Amino acid sequence: MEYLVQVIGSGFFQGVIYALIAVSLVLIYKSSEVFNFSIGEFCTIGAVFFFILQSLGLPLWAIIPGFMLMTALFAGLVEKLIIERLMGRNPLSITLVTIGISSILVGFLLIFFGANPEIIELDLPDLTLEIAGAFFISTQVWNGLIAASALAALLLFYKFATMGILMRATADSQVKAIVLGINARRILTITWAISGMVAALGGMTVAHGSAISYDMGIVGLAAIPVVLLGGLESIPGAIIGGLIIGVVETISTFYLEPFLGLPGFQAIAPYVVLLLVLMVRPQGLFGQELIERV
Amino acid sequence: MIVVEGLRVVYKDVISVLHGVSLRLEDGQITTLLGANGAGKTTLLRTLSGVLQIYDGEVLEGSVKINDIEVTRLNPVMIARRFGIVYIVEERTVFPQLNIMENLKCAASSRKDHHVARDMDRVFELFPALRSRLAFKSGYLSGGEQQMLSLGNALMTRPKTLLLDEPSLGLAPILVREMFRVIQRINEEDQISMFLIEQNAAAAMRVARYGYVIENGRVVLEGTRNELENNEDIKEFYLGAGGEGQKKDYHQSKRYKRKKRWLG
Repeated sequence: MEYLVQVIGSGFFQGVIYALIAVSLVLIYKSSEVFNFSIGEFCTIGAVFFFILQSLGLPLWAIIPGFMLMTALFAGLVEKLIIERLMGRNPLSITLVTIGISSILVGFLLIFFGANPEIIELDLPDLTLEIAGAFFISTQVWNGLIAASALAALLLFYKFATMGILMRATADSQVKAIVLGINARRILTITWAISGMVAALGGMTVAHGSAISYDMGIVGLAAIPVVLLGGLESIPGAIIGGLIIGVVETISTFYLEPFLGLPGFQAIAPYVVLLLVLMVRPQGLFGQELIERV
Repeated sequence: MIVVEGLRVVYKDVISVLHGVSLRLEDGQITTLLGANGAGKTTLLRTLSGVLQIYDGEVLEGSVKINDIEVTRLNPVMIARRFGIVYIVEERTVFPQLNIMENLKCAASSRKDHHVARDMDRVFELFPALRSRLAFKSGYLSGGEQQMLSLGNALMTRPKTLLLDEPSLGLAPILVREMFRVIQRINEEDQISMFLIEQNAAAAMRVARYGYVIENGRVVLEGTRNELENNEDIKEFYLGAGGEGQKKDYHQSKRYKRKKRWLG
């Protein structure tokens, strides 16, 4: 029990990154019922853009908006060139297409980025934390802070900004938006772009402290239990789900694995939790119930 | 003025729903379209508003012209913005997950002028009941309130024409009366044309100046309010009056034997 603060703290810091990636997924799912399986690659590409801008010698205050915008553009292009052409089709079909996009992107990354991992450095003041005997390194703390701020900004945007309200309306019903003169198609593209921006930040925080590699998109898969736990259509759900899964992972590594004598349990612990929750609440913790008036 | 000529519409390439519909909607007027379920009313509205494609429908023949401009297959967002046509769908044009203010803000979002706040005040003046429900997600509003919000959303876009799909559906009679009163008021005060699709013929005819009757995808009758109200077939089949206004004996009401004299 002595490491509890360390374990939970690390779990939170990791979880808030999962939350970022999960929110990126939820944004798209909410508006088009498509599960973007290439989310991991969006994160990787974000990190790669960061790396490119950094290699060009740009200062941090230029890199941050820069790489976010580049990834937003990229995601918007994916939507415009591929997803939009499939509008009207079964969302499941479009989801399968995203699996294909994922493979293609990994291939491109291998070709143009290469097989060698690279590191990105953020020249930030040292924020090493020592609380109640727990020790958190600066990178970890910064990642957590950046992710948390991004989430807060996104929540405020989604709830209060005009574009955020329009995004929610279009997610509710594209037809109703259209008949009121709202350009639902453009809003869908913008939704993907914003999702890309969020994924880029996710990718950057994952790479920061470890490294970028062409296949780091695997981290996207870790977001799957998060969104299913939180409810595919709920942004707060994704955030809370992320935190829960983050803590579940660290608790498994520190306590359950030695206790159960099952090394590697940490990898499946999120799915066990997911299973238990879904048995009781199939729509996820915060999943949307259809408001049906009878 | 909106002119529909010889419209033939199919769904999924094979289900033929409109077989040559023609009508005109005069500016500033409330025109009604009466018809039973399945007659093709909603399909006609979808065609006019441009969303037919979303439902896998297609215009095979015919045209829709607004002020002589052909808009038959025009992008629905253009039809809404440039021509000011707003389709109030049967399930009410409200966004259930958003609250009232957010709904109105969305509807006003494509406007570039500065009178949005004034229009919002007008909406609350027309529908005071909405003021007490501001905090709720609009999916939880009652049917009547949703209909009010629906009209409010439409008004926020500064429309020129409203397409109303069975607005009285599911509403208590007292609300129906109130709602038609508001519709008439909006028509008169804001000079907004209305195309009113209804099954509740009596209520519709009280506000409409001109009307059409559609059956099985064809327009079978048209006329001014007076003409329609005095038409024998309308009286029997849509207004519920028996041949001479009396109750009919079951034996006498064999519909299949009674032929409609649409020319009369």
